[in-house]
Amino acid sequence: MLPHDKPKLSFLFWNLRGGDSDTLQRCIGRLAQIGTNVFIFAECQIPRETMVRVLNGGSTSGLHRAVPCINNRLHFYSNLPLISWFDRSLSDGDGRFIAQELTVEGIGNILIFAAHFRSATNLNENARAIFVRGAARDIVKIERDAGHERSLLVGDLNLNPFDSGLTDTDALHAVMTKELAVSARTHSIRKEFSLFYNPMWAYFGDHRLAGTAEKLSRPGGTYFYPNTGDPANTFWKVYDQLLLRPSIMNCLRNLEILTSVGADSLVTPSGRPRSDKISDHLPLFFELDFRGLSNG
Amino acid sequence: MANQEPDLWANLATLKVRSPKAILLQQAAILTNKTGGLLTGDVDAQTDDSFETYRLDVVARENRNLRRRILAARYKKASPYPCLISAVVVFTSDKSPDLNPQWRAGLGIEPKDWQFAATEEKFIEYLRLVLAHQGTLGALQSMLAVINEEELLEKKAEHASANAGDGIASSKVELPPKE
Repeated sequence: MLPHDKPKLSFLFWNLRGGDSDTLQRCIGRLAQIGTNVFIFAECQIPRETMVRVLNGGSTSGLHRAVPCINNRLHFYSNLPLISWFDRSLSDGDGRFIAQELTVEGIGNILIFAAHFRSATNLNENARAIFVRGAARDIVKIERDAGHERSLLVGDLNLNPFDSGLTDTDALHAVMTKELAVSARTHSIRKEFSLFYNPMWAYFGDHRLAGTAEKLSRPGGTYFYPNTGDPANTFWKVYDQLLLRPSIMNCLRNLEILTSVGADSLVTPSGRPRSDKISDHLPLFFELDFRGLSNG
Repeated sequence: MANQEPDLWANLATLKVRSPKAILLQQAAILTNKTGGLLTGDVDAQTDDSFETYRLDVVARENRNLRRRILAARYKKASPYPCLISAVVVFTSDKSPDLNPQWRAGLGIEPKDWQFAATEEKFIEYLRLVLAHQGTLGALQSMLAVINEEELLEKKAEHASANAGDGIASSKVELPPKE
């Protein structure tokens, strides 16, 4: 049985940028206490034993454990039984891409792909997109192997939702609305290519709470690039993304870019990530409710 | 005696030179045949503006189609040599020369994880090194061992079922009943 009383699974993805401060660990611990089921970390320097203790409130014998994976650049933890995970990762390159299949009684299997694609520091957008194209092919192969497309991809993709690595048919082929995720498949040039729904398009820029003129309900992106010398810089990027195949997109119940955890703020007074104390990326938190899915 | 012009060309031992793609397809078929289909060699092709990339995977059809990557090869379109080879389990040398990021991007690898084959002979030499490497062997044996284990479990379950009507224990996560 799942360790909480609702038929939902909750996930957190966070690029920690090597951080290991007490504040960071306290935030992660608190997210585990409120029942987050799956944690995926990129650039995680916190040793697995320490992380297991953090996730289990100081104990090493709690439900949260590291999920074994042949690729170890991303760290994967869960409070679901280890036997329900099947590692479909390919040992390609330097372990920036993992594939875990979760078996859920009465629902069938769910494929969880997680990625930390190459940084813009060394490669231009086109070169980064080439790598993403390879991963997109691997996703399709693994889905074919698994016999279904109940898949999601989450991670620091180091590309924005509008970049070619995300949108092109031979790349991740991710579109901005649920309606397109279904209808675009009927276009002759797209019919051979599975689509993803990318809800992250809605997470750019200012978003004010209804009825207020000033208060922002969320940050302008997930990552802030402060280079004032670059005339083409958009400053806020939505590099951390969640993509869902149409077969499970209606399971998405909640998707947030977190700016605080309990009393701890993850952003500065001007709303940017606290890169000096915590991380230069903000975490993605989301919940999936599988009740609408049919078995198989 | 007439002067004979010296042949300055390198030795072209055979004119039947094969591309990395052809060689990988051949080796994939050999593995499938060698394991009686328990493990299937699978070669995937990806092309972009200037490059072709081929990835050799092994798939265990009897174990939920589990797939493991053996290597990837990348070369310029219509110019199979030189060819870049990535095989994480094998190449960890730091002797590889620096290379254009465009090459690296297609494979998603760090320089320490690849080798550069200038000729077919060199490609075959590296390929032999990868395919016969302990790391590769270990991966293939793991896949076969799991298949064999599952066969044993199935037989055990059949036996138990015949005796008591029980199947093997479920390994699934259970969701609570619908509200």
